[in-house]
Amino acid sequence: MNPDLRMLRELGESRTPPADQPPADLRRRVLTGVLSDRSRRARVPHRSAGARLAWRFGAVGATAAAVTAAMLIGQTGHLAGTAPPARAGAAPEAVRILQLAAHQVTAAPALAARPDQFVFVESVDSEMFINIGKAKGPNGTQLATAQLMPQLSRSWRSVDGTHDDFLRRLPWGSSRRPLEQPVPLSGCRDGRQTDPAIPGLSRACTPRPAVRADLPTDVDEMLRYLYRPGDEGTGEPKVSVDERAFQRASDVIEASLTAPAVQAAVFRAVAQMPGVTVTPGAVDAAGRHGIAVTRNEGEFRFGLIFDPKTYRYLGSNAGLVNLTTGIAGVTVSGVKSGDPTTETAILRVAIVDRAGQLP
Amino acid sequence: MAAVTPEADATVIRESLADPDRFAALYDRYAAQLYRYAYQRVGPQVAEDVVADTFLAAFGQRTSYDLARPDARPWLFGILTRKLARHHRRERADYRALSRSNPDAVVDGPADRVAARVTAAAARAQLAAALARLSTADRDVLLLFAWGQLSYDEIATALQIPLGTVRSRLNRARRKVREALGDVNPAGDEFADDPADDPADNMEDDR
Repeated sequence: MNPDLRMLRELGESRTPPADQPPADLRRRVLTGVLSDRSRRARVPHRSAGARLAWRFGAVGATAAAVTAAMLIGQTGHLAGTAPPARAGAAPEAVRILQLAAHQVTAAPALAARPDQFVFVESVDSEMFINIGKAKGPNGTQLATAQLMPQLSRSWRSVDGTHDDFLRRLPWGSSRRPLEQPVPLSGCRDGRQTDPAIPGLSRACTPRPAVRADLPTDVDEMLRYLYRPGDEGTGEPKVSVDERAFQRASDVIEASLTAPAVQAAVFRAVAQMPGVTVTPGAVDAAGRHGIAVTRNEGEFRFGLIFDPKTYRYLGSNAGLVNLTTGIAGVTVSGVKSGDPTTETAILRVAIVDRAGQLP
Repeated sequence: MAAVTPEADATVIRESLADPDRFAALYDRYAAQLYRYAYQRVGPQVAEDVVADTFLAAFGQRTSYDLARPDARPWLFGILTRKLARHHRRERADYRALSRSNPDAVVDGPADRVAARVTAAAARAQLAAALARLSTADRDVLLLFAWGQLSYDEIATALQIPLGTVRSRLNRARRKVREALGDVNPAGDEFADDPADDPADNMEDDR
C-alpha cells in the first residue's frame, strides 16, 4: 500500500472504538426510535469534553511504532517473511574484511570451560538519551539535548545455565548515567528458577547456558539461522529480511564470544548479505578506532566494528542515519547525522570460576 | 462486510415496509461499521448520535430505497456522511488539536524510542493538519475510502456523484496528504496565522 494511505489507515486504526462495536444501548435506542415516535427517544448522557480530549490523545499511542516504521522505512522492498534470502552478497571490500575477521577469529582456540564455570564479559554499553526540556527556541520549537551515556558492564554468565548469573554496572568516562544496582539472576536448577526479588517463589525454566552448543558453525546453516522467520508481531518496525538477518548477526556474535567457529560462520554469512558495505573511520563505544561493516536501511544503520589491523571483532553500533530527520517541533542538539544511538564495545572475555571474580 | 446475496439488504428493506421489526436486521448488519467510521471521524459521543440519526433517517427513507440495489451499505454510508457534515467544525477542530498535540506528550528516554515517538507524533500531526485543511467534499471521499473502506463505486453511490468525480477528489485529497507528509514544518505552526484558529472556537460545541 502507498505510504500516505497506510499512514492514514494507521491513524484511522488509532481512532477506532475500544470494542469495535457500538454501545449496546445504541441498538435499543435506534430500534426504539424506529418503532415509536422519534421525539420520545431517550438521549444518551453526554460525556464531558475533557474525557473526549483525553481519549483523543490517549488513543494515538498504540500505533506510534507502526507509524514510525512507515515513516522511517517508507517504501522498502520485500518485507520480512515474504521473500527468501537473496544471495547477491556484500560489497567486495566488506567481504574482504569479513573473511579476514573469520580467519583471525579461528586462529585462536575456543575458550575451554567447565559447566560450573562462568563466562566473564566486560563491555562498554552506550545508549543515547534525549532530554526534552521545557525551554523553547527562538522559532517556537522545543529544545532537546541528546547525549550518549556509556557505562561499563561486567557480566558473569553460568556456562551451563544452572548457576546464578551476575551483572554489574560501573561508570565509564565522564558519563553521568545513573547506574542500576548489581543484578543477580538465578540459574535454572532442576527445571526451577527462583526470583531473588520474591523469596520463596520459583517458576519453571529451561537453562540458558552461556556457552551454547546449538549455534551453527556452518555458513549455510548460519544463513538459515539468521534468515529464520519469526520475531514478528513484537511491535518492532518491519524491515527487510536482509536487514533483519544483519541485525541478528551482532546478537549471535555476542552470544558466542567463546566460540570462534560460530563467530566465523556469522562473519562468512554476513559476507553473503546484500546491502552490506564498509564504513571507514568508525569509533566503538570504548573510543577504539576501527573499520565498520555496515548496512543502512531507510533511516536505520547497523554496524559491526573490527580492529583495522588485526580484524578482531570490537563491537557493534546501531542508530538512525539522521536523528533529526522528520522531527517537527523539536530541535535536538548534541547529536549529528550518523551518530549511533546504541553501541556495544567488547573489552574482555574470559572464563572464571566464580561469579564476580575478575580474570 | 455482509455477503451480498439476491435477497440481501434490499429484501430486508422491502419486508420492513410491512414489518418494521425487520429493520433490526439491517441495524445488526451495518451498525458496527457505521459506528466505527463515525467514531473515527467525530469521536464516541457524537458517533452515537449520528449513527442513531442515520438509522432513523434510513428507516424514514426506506420507502424510496432503490430495491434494485441489493447492497444497502453505500446508501447507509451516504446518509451517515450527510449526518456527519453537521459536525464538520468539530471534526476539523479535532484534527487541528491533534496536529498541535505533540510533542508535549513526548517524555525523556533512550534516543531511539524518543526519536520514534517524536517522528510518529510529527507524522501524525502533519496528517491531522492535512485532514483539517481538506475541503469537506474531498475529506468525505478520502475517509470513506481509507477508513470506511468503500470502493470507488460505493463512494459514487453513497455521495450520489459520478465515478470520475470520486477519482478526481480522491487524487486531489491524497496529493494534499502526501504534500503534507513530505513537507516537514519544523515549527509545526501551520495554523498560527489563521485568524479562525482560536482555541476557544475549536472546542466550541457546534450543535
